[in-house]
Amino acid sequence: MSEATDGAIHPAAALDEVVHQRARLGVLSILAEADDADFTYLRRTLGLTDGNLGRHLEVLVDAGYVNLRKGYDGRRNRTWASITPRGRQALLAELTVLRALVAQVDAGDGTTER
Amino acid sequence: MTYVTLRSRVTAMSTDGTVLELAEHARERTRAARHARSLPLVFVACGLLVLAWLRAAVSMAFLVEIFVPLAVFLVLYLFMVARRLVTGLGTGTDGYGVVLVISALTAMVFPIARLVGALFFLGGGLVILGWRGQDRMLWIPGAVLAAASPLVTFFVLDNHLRFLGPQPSVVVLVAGAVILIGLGVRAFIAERALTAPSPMTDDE
Repeated sequence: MSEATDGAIHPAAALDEVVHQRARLGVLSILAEADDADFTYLRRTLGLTDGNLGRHLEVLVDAGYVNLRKGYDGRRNRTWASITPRGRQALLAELTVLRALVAQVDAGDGTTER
Repeated sequence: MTYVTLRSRVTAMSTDGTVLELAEHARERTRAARHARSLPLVFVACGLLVLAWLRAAVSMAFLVEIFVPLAVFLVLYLFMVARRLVTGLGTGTDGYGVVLVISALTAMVFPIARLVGALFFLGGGLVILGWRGQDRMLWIPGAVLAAASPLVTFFVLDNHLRFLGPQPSVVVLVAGAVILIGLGVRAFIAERALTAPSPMTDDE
């Protein structure tokens, strides 16, 4: 946990490690807009392998951010992922923290590299 | 370029950033993949053409034209559901079902529907979709249609725009449809460009 010079907790401390990972952030962003998506769409859009996406979805399901549902469309089995209210809330919180971080850096108040 | 680090890892970047931009771009990309802007515009444009045809060719058109918004939003809803099954991408929270239910309810209350006109409900549907989807390219044309509805419904245009021909309201409806189709095609092209492949990399 990092602290700013005035003793206040740095916004980065509020980042959720589950959401912050790049692929998981991508999954949540897609699901927040589409409400649900099938495994194949997520894998193709995010450029991940089956195993990789499966692992990330597992993390999100364990955190209660995503629900998985098995379905059958007449030709093949499909796995649908949908975002939970908690997942939507976590994504919004993540974006808020990131914006706060950027704002702090732009104001010359954070840890920066140029 | 300015970026923030936490435990030696880049956490957020500004202006041309990565993580924050990734999340916002993913939202835009997903919306584009759903064609959430172009399809409603084109479907409502088709509704305007049907209204124009009813006015031009059918006597007592007002008896059936109130069912046009219901038909438009029913077909749009079914189309979006079918797309979900084909593409594997959900219909989002834009509220296609909400608009469909409102259209059905208003069609049942004939006096109110007759009072504000079918065009009002076509425009109102776009306003709801645009408002819920935070898309001004939907709610602005929708608001314009809704505002123009009384002018068409109560033959104000027919009385004051005689230079447009024997049925000015039909000309205005067709012109509105052409504009909406133009907006829809432009949106469709932009959506296709935005959904061109650019896989995100996995960094874990």
